[in-house]
Amino acid sequence: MKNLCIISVLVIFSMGCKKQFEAPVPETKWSAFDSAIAVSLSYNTRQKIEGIYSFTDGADGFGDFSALKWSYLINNTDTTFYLSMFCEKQIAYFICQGKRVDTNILLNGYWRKMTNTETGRVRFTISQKNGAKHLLSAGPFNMNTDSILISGAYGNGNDIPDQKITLKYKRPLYNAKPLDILADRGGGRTSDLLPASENSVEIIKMASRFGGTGIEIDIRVSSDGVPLLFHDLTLNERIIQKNGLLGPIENYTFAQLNALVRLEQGEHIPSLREVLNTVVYNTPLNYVWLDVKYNSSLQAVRDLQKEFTQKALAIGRKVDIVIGIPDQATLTNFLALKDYKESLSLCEMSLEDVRNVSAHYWAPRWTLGLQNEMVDQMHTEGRKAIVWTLNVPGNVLEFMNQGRFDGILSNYPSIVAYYYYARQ
Amino acid sequence: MKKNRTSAIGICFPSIAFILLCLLSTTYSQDVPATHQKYMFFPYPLDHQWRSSLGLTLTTLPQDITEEQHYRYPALDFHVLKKVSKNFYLDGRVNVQVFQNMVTAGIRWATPLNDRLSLSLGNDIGWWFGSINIYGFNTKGNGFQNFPNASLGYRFNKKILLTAKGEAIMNLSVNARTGTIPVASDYRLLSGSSFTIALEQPFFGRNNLTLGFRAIYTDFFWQTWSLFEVFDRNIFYPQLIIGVTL
Repeated sequence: MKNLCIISVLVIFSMGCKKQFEAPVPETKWSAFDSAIAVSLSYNTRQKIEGIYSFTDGADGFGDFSALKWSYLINNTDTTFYLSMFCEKQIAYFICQGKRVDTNILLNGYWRKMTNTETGRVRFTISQKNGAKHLLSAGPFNMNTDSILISGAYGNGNDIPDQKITLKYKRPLYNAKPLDILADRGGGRTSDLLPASENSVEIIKMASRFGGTGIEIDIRVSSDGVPLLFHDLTLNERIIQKNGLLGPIENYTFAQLNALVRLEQGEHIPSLREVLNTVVYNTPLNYVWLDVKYNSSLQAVRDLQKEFTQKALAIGRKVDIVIGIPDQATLTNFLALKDYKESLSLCEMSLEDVRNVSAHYWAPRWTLGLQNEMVDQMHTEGRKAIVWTLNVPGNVLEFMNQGRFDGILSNYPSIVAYYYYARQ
Repeated sequence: MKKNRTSAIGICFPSIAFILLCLLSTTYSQDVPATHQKYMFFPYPLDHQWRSSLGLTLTTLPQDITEEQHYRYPALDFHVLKKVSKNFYLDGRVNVQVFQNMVTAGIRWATPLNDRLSLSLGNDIGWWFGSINIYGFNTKGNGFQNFPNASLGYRFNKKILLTAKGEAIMNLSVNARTGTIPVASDYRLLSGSSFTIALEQPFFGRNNLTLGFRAIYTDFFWQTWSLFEVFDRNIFYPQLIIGVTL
């Protein structure tokens, strides 16, 4: 009996093994791409590559079509351009950089499927005869169906790509009716195994690569009054590395948090000032939803909103920085601002509350349904409506086709981007 | 790309709690004749027409899914067995959490292998349903699952019955609506598996106590239906089972 008891305990312990999921970004070295003769692509070339492509090889893994769109990241005087390929199947995407080598265009990067942990390397070539000649020319290019053929291979993990993949140009990206594609928590959740932690500066730098035209970030305040980014009420191991600190984040000064706390992937908890600085000066993002999650004065947030709206305008950019009002306590704090009517705001509550605070946006939870009549009311009053947080691909499509929202907040901006740009 | 790690918190708490409960219950166990055993999980032909138990199941939902709503609500667990013939019996369970509930029913074929060991094979069909209409939710959902299962039992001298049960989890359907629109779902048919260790023994007179630990690995656990996650990963849900025969 003693042996059986021991065996039982061992069985229980062995079955208690919890699988830890990871999806690290693969190594993307490619000697041809990294060679000295490889040069950056021009703006003209980049713009001509954008469009909807069909998979002639690789459809089994990624679906029938892909939406190709460039984004960028500015680091001091350097700007890096990324070509994202948004796919439908399993919320897959590719993120590549592009270079010209002689008369060919090379695209090098990685792919990821967001529903699981599958990822790997990918290498593409656009040869001279398959469209590169025209893409690399300075003049305009008559973009006909099948005029560009992107061929290459993808692999799993860090394996050398060996599975054939081919895309053919079909049509330009849809842009007739604008849609704000907002990436939740600055770009995505930590639980989705992205290369950076949620609500970090690093994930915000990636948000446009994931398809976001804007971001939603969660705002709390430290004990010394510094607005910062953190989703949960308390420090916990879902978001941060284990460090022994407990309790509400509002119990710590910003200096303490900066010195003692690291997010899941090693980043520090950023201040709102640092994040807005990044958005304005480093990214193409044009919308920031400040999801206020604390109950005290909003003056510091309002001051930063004004400061960085002006800074963006000063460099020729229009960035809508919007104070979110999720509940009654925040609404009361918002109304306490002397100039609240001049502040861009978004209210998640009733239409009456939206009107009372003169909010520019109404943002209902998606689980309340399409609510087309109420969205129409908001439009009639000159306001916009954004729905949150829509993750199920089928419902993203349904809200886009049957709904009338001006924006969609999602943890998977790449699937929103795919459905939006693929519209006809 | 993936690696397995042992999660100290994930394992230790439910496992230690389970072992402590086993030890505590053993302390008060009584030696009663075999014909008076009232098992619910033990894979052995029924000698009574009906048998039932009432208890709780407590499932830890992973924080990656629940985030700040990381609450542990027990589900009321009513379990009933009905003899059909010498080796066959019906097995039914009702799990109630008010906002979400599940009913399962299935058939078992059980046979002793020797004086100590016994075996059962069976299949359960489950229907879960839920409705939430508060805090910005206007959602309803239901779905069918199928659980082919096999159990191996060992009877100890002191009338302690140990059962190891393995089952596959199959998603036959998931139907949910939010507002006026259906929620799209793309769950796998072969959703995962679960493994249960259950200990049953005399407790307080002629009743029996069941203590069990179930390790569930699935991409869809019915108690998370309202979270509408799109993860296609077999996530670990540890579950404690406590029941007393009626």
